Amino acid sequence: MLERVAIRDFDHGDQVLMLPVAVRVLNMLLSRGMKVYVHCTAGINRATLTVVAYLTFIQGMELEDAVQQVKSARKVAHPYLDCWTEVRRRILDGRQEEITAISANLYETRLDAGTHGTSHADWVQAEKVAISRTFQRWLETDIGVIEMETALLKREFKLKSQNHTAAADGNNNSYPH
Amino acid sequence: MSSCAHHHSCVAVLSNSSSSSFLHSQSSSSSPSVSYLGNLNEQQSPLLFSSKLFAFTPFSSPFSSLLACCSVSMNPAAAGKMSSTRSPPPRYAGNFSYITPGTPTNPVTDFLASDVRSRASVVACSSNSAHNHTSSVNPMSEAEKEGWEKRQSEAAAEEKNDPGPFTWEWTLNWDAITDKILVGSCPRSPDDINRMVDETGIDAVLNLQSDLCFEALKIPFLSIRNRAVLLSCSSCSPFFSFFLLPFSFISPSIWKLGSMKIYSVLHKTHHLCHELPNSFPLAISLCNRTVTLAFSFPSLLLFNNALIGSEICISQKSGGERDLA
Repeated sequence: MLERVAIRDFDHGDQVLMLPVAVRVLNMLLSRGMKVYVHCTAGINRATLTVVAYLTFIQGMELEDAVQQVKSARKVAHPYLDCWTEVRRRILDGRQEEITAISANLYETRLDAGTHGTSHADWVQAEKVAISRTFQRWLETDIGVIEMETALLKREFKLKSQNHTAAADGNNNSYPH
Repeated sequence: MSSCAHHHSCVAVLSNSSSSSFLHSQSSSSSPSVSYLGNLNEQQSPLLFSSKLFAFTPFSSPFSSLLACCSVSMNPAAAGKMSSTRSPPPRYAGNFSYITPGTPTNPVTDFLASDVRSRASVVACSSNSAHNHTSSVNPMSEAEKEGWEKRQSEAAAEEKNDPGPFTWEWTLNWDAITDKILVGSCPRSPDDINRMVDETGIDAVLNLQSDLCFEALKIPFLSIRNRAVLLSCSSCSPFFSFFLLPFSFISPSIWKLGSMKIYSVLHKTHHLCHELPNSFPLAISLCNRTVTLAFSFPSLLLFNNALIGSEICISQKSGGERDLA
């Protein structure tokens, strides 16, 4: 299987625009249990940025940890982190109320558990949760589309098979034995 | 950085060996038997996957050969011992023009007749690679060279004094970021997809290249995509192919029996959806080194001679038939 998300090389603006789509597709493939080869041209900028974004937005890793993981595995990695920052900002833009609610929930959970923390940490974690939930909703949408298309194709295939079987029976009956 | 060695495609076509026969190429006993086997270069064998072997043979016993078609272990080593007598490919009816390179007419023939460039079969290796050989290629275009130089300069600016191990020379290389994610450079030929699948066990490829990238590197994306689609029978195996043959001399009742049985087997493994001309649904797929054949009875009456071939569509168990035509 090969999926494509076209992103222009060296174009920070285009990478900001398309990075969420790339992460969304990567998430979809991985959620289906696939082992995925992510590539741009050299595997330096766009592909590594996409994986860093996946590790942070979907897996909830810290940016520094994600970059470290990618760079330690692929030394030539050079993701445009300004693109990552901008994408994150855009995803969270206008969601203060939602993040506040999530943060409050985290705070109460933390108090109930008796664990230490700060309101800032709760807020940062709430932002992570909000981003992760966003990609989860996109994933559910994508999987839903795939399932519907699959169901339609299966039905079409079944109907064709039935037609062929009927035609075969007809021809067989007319064949002189 | 991981890497892989270049694989030369191997093909066997039209052999008289019944033990490894998959296809019947001639319907008439008066038709000449043709041996056509050996290691062909990529341009000569666009229908093959790396290290995979296909063979055709005239049926000495049609039905037994049909059964042989249903489940035949692929043994490249044994096949390699077969005759290497080469003669021009036979002329077939149907869609077999791709056996020899020609002008692509659709995505599948494009894939089959893709202009696989030997220059793309190059691998770079890092210190942790088991295959420690490195080859390089010249840039395809000025744009490609400029791109590499820009990446190098950016890396140098970030690292201050170390521009990194890359030059602008393209190599196929990758690294595993997690157990499910690999990051690498782009495939530049359909065969690169085979190598990626063979050596990494990937199920999917996520391509992030723009059209400008394709132009700069002269990447035959359609051919690459079609190869990836063909390899997407992941529940079966990353390699299979298809072909078709003449069956008119076989008893229709036998054909029907075989058809139902084989079709049933095929149904259980994967869906197959494609129609040959005249609504002739038939295909042979090669999965897990086993050849599977599917066809429908009425179609047999439509063809009295000549090889009939066409593209097929194979999907995974989960569905998602993909039309390659």
